[in-house]
Amino acid sequence: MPVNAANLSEERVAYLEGLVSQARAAAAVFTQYTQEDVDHIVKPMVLAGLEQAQYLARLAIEETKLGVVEDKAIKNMVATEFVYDYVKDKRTVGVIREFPERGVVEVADPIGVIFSLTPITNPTSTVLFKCIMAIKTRNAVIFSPHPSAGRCCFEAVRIMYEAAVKHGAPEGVFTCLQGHTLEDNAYLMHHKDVGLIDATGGPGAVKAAYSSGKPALGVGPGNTPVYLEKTADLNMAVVDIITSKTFDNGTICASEQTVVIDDGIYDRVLTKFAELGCHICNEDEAALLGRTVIDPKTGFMQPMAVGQKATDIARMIGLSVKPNTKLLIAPIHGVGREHPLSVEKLFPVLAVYRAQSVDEAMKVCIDVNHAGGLGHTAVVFSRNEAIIQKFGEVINAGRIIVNSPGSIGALGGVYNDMVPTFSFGCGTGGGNSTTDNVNVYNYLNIKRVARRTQAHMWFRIPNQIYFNINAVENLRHFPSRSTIIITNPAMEQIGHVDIVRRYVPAETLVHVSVIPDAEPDITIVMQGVEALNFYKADQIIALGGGSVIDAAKLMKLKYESPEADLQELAAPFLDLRKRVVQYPTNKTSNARLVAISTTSGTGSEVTPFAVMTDKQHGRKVTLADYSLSPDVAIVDPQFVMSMPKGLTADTGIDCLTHALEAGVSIFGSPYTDSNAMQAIRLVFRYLPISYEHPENEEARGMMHNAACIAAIAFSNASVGVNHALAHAFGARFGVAHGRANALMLPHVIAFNAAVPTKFMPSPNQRGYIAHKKYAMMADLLGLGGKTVEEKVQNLIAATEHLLDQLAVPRSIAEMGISREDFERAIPDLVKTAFDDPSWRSNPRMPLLSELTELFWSAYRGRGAAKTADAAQKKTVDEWLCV
Amino acid sequence: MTMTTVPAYLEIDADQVSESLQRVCEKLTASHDDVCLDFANVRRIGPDSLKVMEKLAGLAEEKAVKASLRGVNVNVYRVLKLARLTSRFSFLS
Repeated sequence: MPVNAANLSEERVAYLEGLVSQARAAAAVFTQYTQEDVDHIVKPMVLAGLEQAQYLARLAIEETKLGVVEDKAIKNMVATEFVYDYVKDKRTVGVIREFPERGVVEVADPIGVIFSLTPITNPTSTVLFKCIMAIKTRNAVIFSPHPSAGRCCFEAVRIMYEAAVKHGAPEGVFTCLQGHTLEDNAYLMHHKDVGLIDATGGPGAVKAAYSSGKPALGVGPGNTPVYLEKTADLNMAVVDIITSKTFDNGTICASEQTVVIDDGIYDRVLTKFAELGCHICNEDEAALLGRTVIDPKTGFMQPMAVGQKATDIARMIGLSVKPNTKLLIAPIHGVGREHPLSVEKLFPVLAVYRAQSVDEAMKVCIDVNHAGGLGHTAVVFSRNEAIIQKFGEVINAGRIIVNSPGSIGALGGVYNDMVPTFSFGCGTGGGNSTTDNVNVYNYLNIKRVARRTQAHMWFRIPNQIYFNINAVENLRHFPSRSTIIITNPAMEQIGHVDIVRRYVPAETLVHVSVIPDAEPDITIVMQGVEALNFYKADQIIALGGGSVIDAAKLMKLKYESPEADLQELAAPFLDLRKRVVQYPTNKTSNARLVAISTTSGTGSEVTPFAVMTDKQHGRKVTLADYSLSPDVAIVDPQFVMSMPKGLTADTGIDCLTHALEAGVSIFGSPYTDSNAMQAIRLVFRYLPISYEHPENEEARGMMHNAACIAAIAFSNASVGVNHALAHAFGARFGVAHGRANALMLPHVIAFNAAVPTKFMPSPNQRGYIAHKKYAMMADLLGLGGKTVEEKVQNLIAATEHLLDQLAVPRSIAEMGISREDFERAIPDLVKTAFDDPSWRSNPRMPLLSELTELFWSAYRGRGAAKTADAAQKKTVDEWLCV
Repeated sequence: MTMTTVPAYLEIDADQVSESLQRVCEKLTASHDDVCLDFANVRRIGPDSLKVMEKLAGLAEEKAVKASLRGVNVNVYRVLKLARLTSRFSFLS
């Protein structure tokens, strides 16, 4: 039945409130203390505890009638000296740890008021331990000792309190309940000013703590299995087990409960136990023990046996043993209710089990572990590292003690380097929140002060870029035994392939592979790979537009790394450095990729991207990795002189879109900005000339450079929402990529320049700067304007004017797409655009509704764009940080 | 008609915080004037001072006078906050 704190009298409530109020005030005052203040208090407390270790041990024995006075004194000393040794140099106030390389600092904050339950089995040592932890961490504690250990605990608290206050601790920092009830505990566990419950006690107390809804530290019940394996040092093992199991008459919950012994050493081990003063029970005696020291109704140990000597237990149940018998050892043949001695026994009775194999031994240990001891402690004695490791893997215990005594080993600091404790976290297996040896860090709120860091960025371009008229001549400098030229039919027809062949070194075997002028699919790629393998090519020359160069990139990838799975490599990612899929680095072949672009738009000759058609799923996929970037780019305008006007306009606007989007990208950097700005300047100056005067070599050359420079910018800064819209719209209505970009462009500039509904997380930027970057572009172009807003408007106007010059339709409607068709397509367009990774680097995160509005703006056409909503009169500078 | 009153301005002695506050309590008991306590020199307060602060807050509420604290440092402010006293005083910079 749940304990109801409502049954408390008014006087009792006032008393408890007084305790909490006093503790809260002490905790509040304690927050002002420095590390030095705290350390100044802790040391004399520890000395006081050491001084009174034996006195407190005697008090505990007198009151509880459990355990051994000498052992309790040792426990009190461990709880003070060993704990002090661990905490003395630990920082627990203010900055406790710094990670300068990560920009993170950990700052310790006290919890405030801790309500602490202490057990009957280790009463004073637990109090000493918790007092030291509390002062070290600047917390106040209200102790609630086990009712049968109230006096000794009160005395322990008094000793600690007086030492602490004498050396500067705030008054009221410790209080100890006396004559208290479960209702008192319930009241305090639910009190709003109690920050943490630290319940070291029986399952009932721990369950009550966790049920209170407060943060709680609890210990689980133990049932320590021990595997004594045949390679173990038997002399050491037997002495360790006796030492541990008899320590304080077995009251430490980490003490050994069932020893599983390999068959080959079983008899020898039992003989050694007997030689060292243990009584080995025969079957009848074992049955008698099982019936008497374990409650047959509950299956748990009888309280009357807890903490008693072996001889006293034997006398109680009518078992004849030698005087000074240390342990009663009882063989068992299984685990569970039918084998009563297989449960926890906090007294010097030890079960032993003969195992025929390692497998059986491990399984019995697992059974014991699950019979009431999950998450607590287990012990293994062995010299076989594989067995020790396996045992550690299969047993669910917060502490796996190797070749040492379980109880003293689990306490930490004596037989191993674990943290000294008197409270064993048992993890979720034991219904606890931690598997730790509870320590000072469990008494702290550790805050992380995380400074803003800038992600490492990069600027990567192909090793070699050759540009200007006749740059193709540089092919002469690339020795090759076997070269394959990947191209499309048009390049062959107009003689461009012949020009390229002319400059390949004479000794090179050259083969031409003509592919369709469309985005490649896996069949085209694999045909190319077949040719590369057949000719054992060491050089690939891609001659064409984006599709041809992309095809060549994928052929090279599959040629060099045949195991590469293109579908898998096209998996989406957010950050190139953290992507799940890694591109292969092991190469079976090597081929130089030389890209010669024959359009001035995509810039594929320098980008790390390749678009492929996935016919199986009816979609296009983009592969992105710097290993895809061509080794050599040739930007020779002679290959674009014959571009028709429409293609000149569409590819030129594609180039402008790359530059504008890279220019405002959240991944932009001074490196990419310089390229983006230069590309914008070149496009505005030379695209109209290229369009009107296709024969103008300078304009063609500059536009060809602009495409490459813009591609360098977006290869490192990525693109934005314009591309997401254009990809969706172009695919749905069969509109060329550059034209689709053009239809969206002024609307996207206006969208990005306005106050975002939703900002995009961008650790490398200080505030929202897209509008200012557009204004910088307007300044670069000499467009005039006094305010940022005016400059943005002028950039939009200039872009619209450029589109008009290039005879780009003013709207989607003007392209002959009916309103009804467009309206029907909108849901799919929006969905596709939102799924497109391009906008992930856009400065403004587009909402679905905003994507819809952008599509409609493009449908209505140019002139409809505004830098901000009509209702929003404030300028961007008024809203945004500068 | 209400009169504008100038609050009694009292400096808290950093070495005798509790005693200083106790004297303020006595003054407050004997008058109905607002009080302004200067904490500028107080770097730390103890549990006894907190008790007097609580008493002072109670007195001020009882007499319906305004008790203001001036120059309270962040550490002391945090103590007052944890002790749930900040809402019972006004704070001046």
